[in-house]
Amino acid sequence: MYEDPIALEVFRNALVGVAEDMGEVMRRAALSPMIKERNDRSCAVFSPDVELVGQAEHLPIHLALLVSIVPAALQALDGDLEPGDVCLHNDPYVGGSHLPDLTAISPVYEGDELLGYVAVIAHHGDVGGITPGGVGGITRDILEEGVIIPPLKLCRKGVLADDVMRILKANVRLPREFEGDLLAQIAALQAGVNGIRELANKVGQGRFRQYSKDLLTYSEQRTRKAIADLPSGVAEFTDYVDDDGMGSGPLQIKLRLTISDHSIEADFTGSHPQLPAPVNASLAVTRSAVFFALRCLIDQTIPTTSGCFRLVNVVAPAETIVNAQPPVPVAGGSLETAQRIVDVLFGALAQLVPDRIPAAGMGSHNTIAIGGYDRSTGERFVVCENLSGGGGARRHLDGVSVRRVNLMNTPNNPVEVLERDHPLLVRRVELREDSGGSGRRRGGLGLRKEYEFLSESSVAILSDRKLHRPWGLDGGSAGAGSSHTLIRADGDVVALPSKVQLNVQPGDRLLAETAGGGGYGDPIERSSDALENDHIDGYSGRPDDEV
Amino acid sequence: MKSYVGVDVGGTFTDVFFLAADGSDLVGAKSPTTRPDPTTGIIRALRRLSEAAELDLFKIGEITVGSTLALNAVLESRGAKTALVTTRGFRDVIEIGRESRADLYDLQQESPRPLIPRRLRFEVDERISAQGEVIRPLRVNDEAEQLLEAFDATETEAVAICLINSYVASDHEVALRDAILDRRPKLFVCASVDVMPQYREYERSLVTCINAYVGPTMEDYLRRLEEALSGVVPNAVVRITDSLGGALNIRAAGNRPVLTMMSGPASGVSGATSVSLRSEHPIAQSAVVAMDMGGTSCDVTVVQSGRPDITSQALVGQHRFSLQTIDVHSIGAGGGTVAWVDDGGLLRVGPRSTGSRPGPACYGHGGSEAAITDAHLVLRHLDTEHRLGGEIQLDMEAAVRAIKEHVAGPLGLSVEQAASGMLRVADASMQRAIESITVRRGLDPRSFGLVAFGGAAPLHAASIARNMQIGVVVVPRFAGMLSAVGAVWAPEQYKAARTCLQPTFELQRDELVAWVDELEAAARDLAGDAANGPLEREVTFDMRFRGQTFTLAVPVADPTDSGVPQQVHDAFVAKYGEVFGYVLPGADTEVEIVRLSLVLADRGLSVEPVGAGEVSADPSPWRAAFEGHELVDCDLWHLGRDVAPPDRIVGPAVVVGEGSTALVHPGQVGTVSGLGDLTIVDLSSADG
Repeated sequence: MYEDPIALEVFRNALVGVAEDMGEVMRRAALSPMIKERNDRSCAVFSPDVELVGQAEHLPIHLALLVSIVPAALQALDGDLEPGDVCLHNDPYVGGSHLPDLTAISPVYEGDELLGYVAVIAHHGDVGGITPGGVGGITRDILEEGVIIPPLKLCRKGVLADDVMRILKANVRLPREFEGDLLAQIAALQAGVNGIRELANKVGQGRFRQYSKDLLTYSEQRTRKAIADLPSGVAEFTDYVDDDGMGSGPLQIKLRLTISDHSIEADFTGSHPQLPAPVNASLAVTRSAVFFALRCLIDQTIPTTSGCFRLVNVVAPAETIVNAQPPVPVAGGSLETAQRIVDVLFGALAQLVPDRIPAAGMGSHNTIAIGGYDRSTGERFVVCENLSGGGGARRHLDGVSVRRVNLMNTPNNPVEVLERDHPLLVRRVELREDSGGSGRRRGGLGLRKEYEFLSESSVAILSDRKLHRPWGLDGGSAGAGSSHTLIRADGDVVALPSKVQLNVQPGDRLLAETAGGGGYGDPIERSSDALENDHIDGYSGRPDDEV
Repeated sequence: MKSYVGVDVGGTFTDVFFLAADGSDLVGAKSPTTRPDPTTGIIRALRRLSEAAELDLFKIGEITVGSTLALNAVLESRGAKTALVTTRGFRDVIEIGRESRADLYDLQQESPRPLIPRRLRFEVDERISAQGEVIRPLRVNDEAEQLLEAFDATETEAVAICLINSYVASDHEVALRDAILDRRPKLFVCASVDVMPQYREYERSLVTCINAYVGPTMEDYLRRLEEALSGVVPNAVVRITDSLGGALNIRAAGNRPVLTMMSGPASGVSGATSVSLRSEHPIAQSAVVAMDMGGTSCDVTVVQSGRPDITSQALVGQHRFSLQTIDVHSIGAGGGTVAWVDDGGLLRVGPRSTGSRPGPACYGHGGSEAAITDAHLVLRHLDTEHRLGGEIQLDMEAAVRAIKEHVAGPLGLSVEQAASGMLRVADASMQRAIESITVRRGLDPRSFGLVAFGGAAPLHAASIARNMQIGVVVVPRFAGMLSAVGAVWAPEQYKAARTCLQPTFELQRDELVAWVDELEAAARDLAGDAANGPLEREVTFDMRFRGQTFTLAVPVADPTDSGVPQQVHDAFVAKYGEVFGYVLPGADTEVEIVRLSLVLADRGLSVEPVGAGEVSADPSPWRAAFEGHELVDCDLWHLGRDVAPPDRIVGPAVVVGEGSTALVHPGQVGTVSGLGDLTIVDLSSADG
């Protein structure tokens, strides 16, 4: 089938190796916790025809992002990238996701020959806008979300454009971190350029091109086979984002999923129109969500290339919350809406491949962005927390407690790091007892985390699954909904909505409780051993009707 | 004059290695590992050694034992019934972990089971701030009394204490530990500040829990080991290998069993380091990649100037925790690693392995899949007359059958072509592993040598070296038992560390001196009076640019010097530039951790060239495949204790040594040093 299947496998390893090396360079050199602690960055290699041939993604949300962003950015620049140039870009409406995700792209040349492109996407700690961290704010227009960078040249022939860097730094809250991370992205690109050139020299340019093409064919064929192995059929499912933070809701996401012999179509016609609120997903994000759901069902060793995407058709009408158009904000779209898109996909898939799909997980990034001036140092601070909740129960397994679900997988901020770096005191981090949906298999438990603020701060919460709780399957119950409570220093207790922006004073406390996962199967069938262990360990114990 | 013995307890065999006091004799022996108590196997192996080499075991002055007991206790969930004591509000930290899932796309992944179940995690009312101030005081006696009731009710055997922010101020932890020990002196109790006083509560808690979890088992084992050894080698000091390629006295190993956790691979690297240092080749002397390939995995480590790379993270089963250990990068490529053709028509190798049972098809233990060892056999890299490890008779027909069915048939290739392809893909994945520990860190693999050990690495080293333009390969004489060799060379070392987290230029000399004294006292306490000689002090800082996470270790020549901040800042910036190729302009640096080691490095070990054996080595004619799949004429050499090594082994050649088989490719030439190590270089460089 291929000229040399052994050489192609060796090449495939080497190509993904280059992408992984880029990611490692980036992680080691980065300054912000988003990248250094949380791995929120991914790297990829593209062919001269701008087809994705190798990718090392560290977060599922990045699966189909670079494959959208890079061609769009190059088109915007009319393909004008010379050796040593770096294109920088974060515009969600030019193939992107949301503003904190900055993509950097470099061409790889050997002499006059274009070998391809390398790209790295990284989530930056702050990109300006009305709320710290660029997510979590109640915004009406994308201009409020931060600085928009249309595809432009950050470096020309290896020389950094100082004026571009200066204007960007002037518009973000933590310019030092921002610059450090951007330089780390450039270092990663440099590692990628060197790696690809070495590889091309080793195998020869002609073979390099041929192997790249072969890889696209290879992954397309394997994806085709994997899809053919799934049962064909049509399923429909609807789930909801609770609200938009400004009184509109619920916001439906409607899906008609068709699996045929060799392709998959995800049709989101009928989903809620876009809103002047931070709940709109760009098309690239919706595509990532679809591809993630598919990826969970097919052999993981199929390399992610453009070849895989050819078989997946996403129908998402423009100006809906699954395909936003200017000028609505998008920050929450790649978080809350993206989570729900995956839930909807799983809801439909559960009808077609019932044994392999879990009940709904906590379904939210549960972002809490805190910022202000530290009164002990006088310095500005920004911290972005994402809280996990329960995973959905599986046919044979309980759901996992307090674990990242769906498109997200960043590690948390350790309490001792949070407290050392920011004016916060964390009062508790514990499992939220009785929050897992009951069933033959219990849903995972949510998290209870309580913060005390030591300086005057602004807090933005972007969460969901308060009203539309994570559903169970096959007779299992829904998990507990999320809840956020403000306890003022004077003792006043305020129940907060799931999306809110507020100011807090020293001594105020925020109690965050995340959703539990849905249960699986009839609760009556839960074994007495499992019930007893739940009781002894305090995971659950109260009768179901009290939960 | 005392002689030395190193012991490595492996999954299948217990290896022992003997070094005579004057360095004139080196001997290895093996005996099957016994379970659950490895002591019996160790004693048997010692007896076998004494018979094989006519040794008087009474003359052994030092014995260093590698132990996988702590590791296995965690892997097999066979530790003590352990309780965790923590700050109110934080008992679920070790269950929650860092919240991320192990696999991005597997919807059916098992819930990780916490090392200590929730019912055995207890909270005390206290709180210390990140600045070390007491926010809520600890009522130590009340809390201790309540805890003891709970321990008694649950029949707790070991206790880990980890309080939030104890890395800044340890008073509460220490008071609680002492209060519990006062009341129950026989309970195994450890506080996180004793085990690893570094920030990040999850990682610190987990390492403390692991230490407690394996503590009672390890204490018990060490007691039995010491007793058994005193009967057989009564004049020997007993040492236990640690995760840094060093060794501890038996008391320290009992107090900090977690330090021994990764000692198996670490000892092998320590052995490779000793091989590197005594090499006659200048490159192999200065920098090598240690490559250990056994049945299931290939482990690679960078060693520069006799110092292996160190990392601060260990992964055991599903538990990832903080531990200073030799930085071993492991991939699924070993002799038992399986090859197949995927549904897209590509040849894939690994990471799955058939292990040692059933093992490769050619072992004849019922394995039918095509493994790497099968490919070597088909290409005649192994001598079928020679039993593998002295035990296994290789079955050529089974190997051919397996490769034909799983690889050659589906790809439409000959069996030899398929076997050669399997080795090419396996080599490529090992090359990737070597690249990722060198290139990624700013190191050029072409300026390194390759030390190949373990059963399978010497079969791959010469081709990998050629592909990567690595100029020299060293196959140690005892390549099949290098962990036992490494145990003998392991420097005795005792360490202590503390979190500093201060900007470099804000370090106060007096404070630093006080810390170093404190750390030295802690390390001396760990060493006890059982340290086997005078100890040298080494201080290092883990430094980084302010705001970064990744640190580099910077040695501090004299901590009392007032110029320390400038010196370490400059040294860090220079090292950073080497590793990353650029430096953040004008960025501040900070010291995350201050580390101190007390090392008994120079124990007067020496090795003398082996005297020429009685029998002169002569090659037999042989046919094997080297660069492609076609068999070519070559030499087959057998080296051993009684054989005088040849001057030159010109490739192509198959060299059967005492514990492994090595390949010398066409255009390469091997020489055997006076110590019995085989050094392989390109013929052109040897003649030039």
